[in-house]
Amino acid sequence: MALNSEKPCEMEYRLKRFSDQSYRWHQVRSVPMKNEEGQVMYWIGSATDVHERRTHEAQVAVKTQQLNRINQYLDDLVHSTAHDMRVPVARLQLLVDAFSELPPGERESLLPKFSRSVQHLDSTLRGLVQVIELQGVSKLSDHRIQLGKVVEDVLERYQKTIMEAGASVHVHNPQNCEITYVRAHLYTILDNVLGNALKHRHPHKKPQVHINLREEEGYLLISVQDNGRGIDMRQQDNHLFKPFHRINKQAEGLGMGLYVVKTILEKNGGYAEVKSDPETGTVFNLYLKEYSDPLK
Amino acid sequence: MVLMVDDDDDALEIYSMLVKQTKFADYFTTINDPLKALGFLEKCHQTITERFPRYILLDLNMPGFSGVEFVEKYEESYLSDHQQTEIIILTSSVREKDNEKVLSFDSVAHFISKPLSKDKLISLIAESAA
Repeated sequence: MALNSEKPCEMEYRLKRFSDQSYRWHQVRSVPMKNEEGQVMYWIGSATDVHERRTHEAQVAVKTQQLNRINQYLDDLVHSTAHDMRVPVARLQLLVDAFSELPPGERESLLPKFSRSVQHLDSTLRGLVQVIELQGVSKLSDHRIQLGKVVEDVLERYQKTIMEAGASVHVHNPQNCEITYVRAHLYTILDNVLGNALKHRHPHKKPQVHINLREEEGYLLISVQDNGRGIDMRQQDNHLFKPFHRINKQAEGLGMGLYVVKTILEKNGGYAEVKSDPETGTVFNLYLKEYSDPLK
Repeated sequence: MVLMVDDDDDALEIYSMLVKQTKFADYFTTINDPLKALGFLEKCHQTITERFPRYILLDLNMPGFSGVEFVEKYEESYLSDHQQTEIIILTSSVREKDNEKVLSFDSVAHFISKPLSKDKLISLIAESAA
């Protein structure tokens, strides 16, 4: 090819290094040397080890991808936060207007509304702080974490709720599931998902929760199934994992839980999926990837 | 007649209080649930005594049955019989593209950014009562 074209050529490929048998990237150049008639007499070639540069470029590419993802994430977050701040702020504006319009006798009834709007604003801000903290540097656990143990700990926190509701919780396969992860994140994930399973219970059924731990296609899968009142997936569209989204008005909370879960999982190459039906309940499948530093 | 549909009970109550200060109290109805609002419209549609709203002020962002679904159902049942009626979206969205989808509906006239001012509300009610 290059030989036939009789033009200088340059390419990069890997060559095996004799000393340690490792493949290293080389930049290979060759230039044809021609005589006065323009005929190629011989070629001069060089091979330069550019392995360091290539590796560095790959690292930069990974880093750039990460930064792009973070940028997109922050953009979404800013918009949804702005939206969620607008709701109570708009109501406060309305209240101020109403306060000046209404006769003195009726103004008093506005006070609890003022207070609720301010609380709403406050909890939105708290939710935001929670998300910002998640983005910070997190300490990776030094040891392999036993998932079964984490489930046990989280269930203990919910023991009172479980007792009061007469709920039965089954943990399947708790042994042998280990993972390297940020320990606090594991607790946050399980706390949110188990909390949901117990919170959104069916009005006429005793709550039953099945927690299944297993490995699946390179992921560690935590599957949490309940027999609660379910979610009409058609109505929820894909809002379920958005920040500040509440499934219904009755259940308490900031609507941050699933968003936080999703953020943690995806930050580390995992994902979450949900299947739900108002008849049978909800299954949350959380796919966790082993924690790894992409630059190593 | 003006119908306001929003899941924010506080806001509905405030608007009701404000309208009560005027002579238009009979021309303003608030409902905090889109499904109930559809039920109310059906009643207006069936009976001659109830006046079908001239304006429907609609919050888009409600849990469960969303504002967009409300508009879809509304157009299915009432668009052809009540062409005068306009839906005005009350929005707290800060992102333009969130609003584009719903503007493509025939019955949706325009958007008003929350909070809807008392004067604007009264002028709409006055127009519908005229």
